[in-house]
This record gives sequence, C-alpha cells and structure tokens, in this order.
Amino acid sequence: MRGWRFAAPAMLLMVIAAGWPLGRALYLSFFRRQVAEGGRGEAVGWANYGAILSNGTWWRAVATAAVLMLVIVALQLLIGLAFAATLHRIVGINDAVRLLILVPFAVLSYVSATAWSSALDGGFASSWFGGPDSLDSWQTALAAVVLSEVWRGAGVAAVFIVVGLSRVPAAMYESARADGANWRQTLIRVTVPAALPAIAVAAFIRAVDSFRVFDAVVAVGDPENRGLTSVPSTLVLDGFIRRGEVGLGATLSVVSVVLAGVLAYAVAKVLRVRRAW
Amino acid sequence: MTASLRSRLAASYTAALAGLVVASWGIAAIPRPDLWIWLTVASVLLLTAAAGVLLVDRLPRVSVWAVLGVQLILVFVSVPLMWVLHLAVLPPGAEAQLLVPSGASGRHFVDLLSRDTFQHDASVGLVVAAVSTLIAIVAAAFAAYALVNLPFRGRRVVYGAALICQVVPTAAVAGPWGDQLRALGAFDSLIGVIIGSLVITVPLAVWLLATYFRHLPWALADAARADGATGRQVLLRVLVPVAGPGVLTATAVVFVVAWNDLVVGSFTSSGRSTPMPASLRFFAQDYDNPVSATAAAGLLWAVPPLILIALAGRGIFAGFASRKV
Repeated sequence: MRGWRFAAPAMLLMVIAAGWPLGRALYLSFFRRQVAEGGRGEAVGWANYGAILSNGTWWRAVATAAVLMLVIVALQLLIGLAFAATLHRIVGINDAVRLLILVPFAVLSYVSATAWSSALDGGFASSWFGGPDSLDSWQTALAAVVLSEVWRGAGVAAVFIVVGLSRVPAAMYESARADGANWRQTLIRVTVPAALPAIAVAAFIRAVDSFRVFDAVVAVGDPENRGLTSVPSTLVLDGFIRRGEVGLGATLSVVSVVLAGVLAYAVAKVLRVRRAW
Repeated sequence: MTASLRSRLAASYTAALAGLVVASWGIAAIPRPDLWIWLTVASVLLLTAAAGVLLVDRLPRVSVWAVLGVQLILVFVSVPLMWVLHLAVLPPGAEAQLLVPSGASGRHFVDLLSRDTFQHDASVGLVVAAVSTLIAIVAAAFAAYALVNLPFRGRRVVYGAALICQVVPTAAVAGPWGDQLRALGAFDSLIGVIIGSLVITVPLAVWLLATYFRHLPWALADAARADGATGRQVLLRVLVPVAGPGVLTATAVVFVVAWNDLVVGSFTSSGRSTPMPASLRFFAQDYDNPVSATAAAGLLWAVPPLILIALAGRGIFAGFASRKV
C-alpha cells in the first residue's frame, strides 16, 4: 500500500474537483429551485429527467453534438494523416514544421470560431468561394464550429499519428524491402497495421474532445435557433447561468455525463482502444 | 522506371494540376489584392512541379510529396491566422471582406493592454492557470511515479479516474461546482475558480506523466543506489535529470490547456474573479466592433502558449515518440 501514499493527493484532488460536483449534481437533479433561492428547493423526484428527455431542444442538441463530432473527427484525421505523412518524410526543417502545425492550437477556440464565423459571413471565405446566401444562419454557425475545430485540432491529431508512424520499427521496412515489396504493399502491409493502434487512440481522443466542444458553440450560438446551435454542454450553461434553474442545470449535467460516458465506451469499443495511455 | 521516380513524377503532376486550378480560380473569382496571394500560391506550386520534373533523378533525399505537404501546412495554418490578424487590426468603421487588410490600426491592442479590466482579468487568468498547473503537476508526479513503479491495489482506480475526468464534459462538472460555491458563499472567488479548474489540470497531468514515466530508465536509480548513492543524490543526480524534461513538457502542456480554458470561469465567477478567456465573452461587447476586439484579445492571449509550445515543442514530440508499444 506504499503506492497509495504517492497516489493519494492526486486521487483526492480528482475526487474533490470532479466527484464532489458530480455527486452534488446528482442530488440536485431531484429538486427544483432558482439560483437566487437558498436551500434545497422543492423535491420533484424524476420530473427534471422527464422534462429533459421529452424535450426536443435536448435531443436536437445531442444530435448536433454527434454530427459535429463525426464531421470534425473525420476531417481532423484526414488532414492530420496528410500532415503526419509530411512530417514523417521531411528532413532538416522538421522542428519548424512541427511547431507550425501546433500554432492554431494556441489560439482560443472561442476566438477561432468567432473569426471563422465572420469569415463565412461576409469575410474572406465568402468573398473567395461565394456568399453564404444559400445557408441559414444556424448552418453558417455550425460550419464555423467545424472549420474552427478542424483548424485548431488537425495539428494535434497529426502529433498522435506521427507517434504511430514512428513506432513502426525500421527493421520491418528493411525486411519488406528485402522481400521485394513495392511502396503500396509496404504501406498496406507494414505501415498501416503498425500505426493503426496510435491512429485509433488519436481518433478516440479527438472524438471525446470534439463531443465536449463548448467555447466554439458559445461563440457562434444563434439565439434564434438555440436548439440547432446548442450542444449538451452549452445547455448546461443555459440551465445554470442564463435561466438560473439549478435543478434543470444539474439534471443536464448528469445526463450529459452519462451520455459522454456511453459515447466514450462505444467509441473505444468500435476503435478497439484498450489503453489510451 | 523505379517506384520512387514514379511517385516523384506523380507528385509533380499533382502540384502542376493544383497550381493550374488555383491560378484559374484565382483569376476567375478572386478580387485584388487577395488575387496576389492566390497567384503566389499557384506559382509556388507550378515551380515545385517544374523542379520535381527537372530534378527527378537528382536530390534523392527530398520527397516532392513532402514539399507539397509543407506547402499545404503553410497555407492551412497561415490563411486563417492572417484573417484573425486582419480582424484584429481593422480600422474603425471598416469592414473585413478580403484576407489582405486594406488598412491597419493597432487601437485594439493598445486599448486592451492599457485597460484595467483586461489587465485584471488577464492576471486572474494567469494566477488560476499557474496555481492550478503547479498543484496538478506536483500531485500528478507522485501519482504517476506510483502508478509506474509501485504495484499497489487500486492503481486501476487512479488510472480510471484520470481517464473518466477527461471524458466528462467540463461544463457538467463546473456547473454544479458553481452552485456549490454559491452555497458556500465562495462564488466568484479566486480559490473557488482554481479548485474548479483542477478537474482539467489534474487528470491531464496524471495521464501525461504516467505515459511519460512508463518509458523512463528507472533502473538507473536502482543502479545508483547499488553504487552507494544517498537518497538525495539519487533524486538530484538521477531522477531529476531523467524525468525533468518530461515533467517540464507536461507542465507546459497542462498550463496551455488551463490558460485557454473558458468553461470553468464561466460557471464559477461573475466578474471579480473571472479569468481572461471566460471574461472575453463579456468585455468584447464594450467595443464598437466586438469581433475585432475578440480577435485582438485572442492574439494577445495566444502569445504565451506560442512561446511555451516553441520551448516545449521538441519535448512534445520526443515525449510521445519515446513511447513504445
């Protein structure tokens, strides 16, 4: 048990920072009360859960988050793969390029989404590729979220994939060459199988991260189309802060945690990620 | 013709095709001055193609595909960045329509830097990120050491907690934490925001450090002990030099993530202790052009992370790359 003496502080901090609020959310989700009122409020049983699970806005937000996640992860991986293949092959200016692909990650998600939204709405993107006249405002908003997150996250995805590529032992390439494999065979039979676990980890991490997207949606969220430009995380903000209904916010917290857990489990199963570390 | 020659020619033809497409779309649809950017990109692509074909059997170490990839990365990163810059330097009353700014004014930068509220929120953001990172790294270094070197019952619980915390949406934790702080009368206090932000920093630090520590040559410490080194000597001469670079890299990564977090502050504070990224949502509205002010504040806020990424960049890759299956 000597290990616990070392691990206890971190564990304690995680229990305080995550376990405590989540426990409180679970408790509060059975009550109804405005932020300004003190105390517990009125016990309502499962009413909050019923209200949320029968609410169209909630399910639209879930669908929005799921679609955003799929599109963002697919694009990040695609671009990340191209970047990683580049990084893997260049010599000499490696450090500079590696730094370059991480530059967008330093820009706040909120700022990047704001900038992309204005780029699509009369900015450079609409001047270059035609106006967004054919798009509704909520479509422009979601496109801005996707572009922003892909721009910021492709470099991070590339970092993980580069790791996967660098894990392919050089001896395997030498054997492949000695056996007379051409580059296509080498790619399909050697590189891809050896790098796949790392790519799966990258996909898992990016998927979990994209599902939690908050800043970008807050930045471009369209009050007129709240259901279509909300994700579960921003609904939690609506519940606790904008509407000030604690029970509702707490219930949204609980439901989105469960949803995120189920989703992470499913993605891990699909991608066969057993260890993300 | 060998496979590498064929691949090189294919890359050159791709570059030529891309160059032609960019040039014709630019001439057909792009107004000046952005046209010059398009034509520059097109000429670089065409030159790459020409060089690829002409030098096809020379310079065997240069990959034409990789050269194309670097050009793609440059455009991908710099075009949106230039747009953010354009928004940030927009003169009063002007509208940003093209990528190249028609005029430039540094008014937002000057105004932000001299504004009390920005200075206040920025220092709150710095304190929150720094304290939260420091606490997390110290606690996580011990935990990661135990996870890697000391088999104990329940280590899967610690791993599991770190993983679950990274899956859970931050808003779902910060929301009820804000309500708890209200109940305790600690809403909008620095300490409340810092504790709230630990949900981001601690699991990330545990995960990064455990991953990194797993591949360190811990046997060196045993060897040093066998050679008669004291505990302090083992720590200072062996453990710190061996683990130091990875811990510094992890510190930089965790700090950047905490520095850029907008969620916790939005739920746990209402002005007095709102750290900078969270307060951006509100103070940008004070400006005649909120988008422009947001872009300027965003660029200022990106400077410290950029410096840290530059310093830690090599470590970020080396730390990950040293992982073996």
